[in-house]
Amino acid sequence: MNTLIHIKNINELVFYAGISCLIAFATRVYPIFFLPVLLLRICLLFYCIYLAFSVKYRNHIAGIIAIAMLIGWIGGYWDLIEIYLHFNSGEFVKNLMLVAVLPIILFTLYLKSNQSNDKP
Amino acid sequence: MISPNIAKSSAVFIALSVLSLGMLFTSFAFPLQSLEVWKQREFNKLKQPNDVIFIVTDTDEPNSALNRSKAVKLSQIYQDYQYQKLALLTGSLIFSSIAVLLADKAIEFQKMEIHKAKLDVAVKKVEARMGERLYLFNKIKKQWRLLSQPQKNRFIQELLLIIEFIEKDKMGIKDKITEITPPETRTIDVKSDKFIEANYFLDNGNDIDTAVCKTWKVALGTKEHSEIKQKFVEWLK
Repeated sequence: MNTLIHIKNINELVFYAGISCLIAFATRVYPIFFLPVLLLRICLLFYCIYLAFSVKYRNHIAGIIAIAMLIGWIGGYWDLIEIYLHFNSGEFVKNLMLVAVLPIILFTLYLKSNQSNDKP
Repeated sequence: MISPNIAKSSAVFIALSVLSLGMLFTSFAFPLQSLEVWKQREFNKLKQPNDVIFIVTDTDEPNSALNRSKAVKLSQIYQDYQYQKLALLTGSLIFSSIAVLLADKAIEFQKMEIHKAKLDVAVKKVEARMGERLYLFNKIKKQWRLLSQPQKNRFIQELLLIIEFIEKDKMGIKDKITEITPPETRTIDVKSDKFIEANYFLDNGNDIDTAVCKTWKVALGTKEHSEIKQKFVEWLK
């Protein structure tokens, strides 16, 4: 019904994502800050879990912060990821295939296995 | 700082949000640092070749695994876009913050517009009913002028008979309802929307009592019924 509320939420997400992206750039330029920033991210993740399960009116802010942190983290390293994928596409595709096919193999093995212990 | 008239046009709000999102995603794209990409061929214990890619930036510490005499340089980026990226990011932050500040006013304005549209529809319906009534009333007036005196008297007698019949019927209904339903105590919402509903019942040809009964679902002859009826009569005036 009221579409502007969703746009407001997206704007909040963009704001937090911009801040986290700025922090990611800072860690890339000054690598000393990598460990403290990593600790801060982990702490924020725990805070988001606490917010999501706490009895508050605006619980959706937890999801917004978590998604913004993830977008900023990926976006800060995006040019490196792009180069890595360009030169290592074979390995990437191999891993994707493994992730796709392994569950199918395991499921077939599970279905084929004889689970009854009564037989001699 | 920000005038409320800007918030009235939701197009500004949407444009700001789109700009901020676009600037954020464009800031991801360009390289932040000058870097080199090296490829080195290594062998496993089973003598299988494996090409390892090293991405070496200026700020990174020297990697001991990379042997520059064996490795091959694949590509190099000389130009970095640090200031452009930072400018895009700050722009996205500023635009998104302005959009968040404008959001509440824009949402309120949209809600008001939806409410106004609903009210206009209700008013148009009532006006249509009133027009029908006026048309019928003028028709009866014209016919009344053409009638003779005995015909008028006969018409009045018929009307009085109908009114008596209706009142008797109403009394009967009252007695029946008071016998069946016991008096209840409960909270009732008296809002303007309910009044409009009751007015529709009135226009359809019901009495005030039956209209109140149907809209608020209250029995005849109770205290609540009388209170609501008083309020409804005041609203009608």
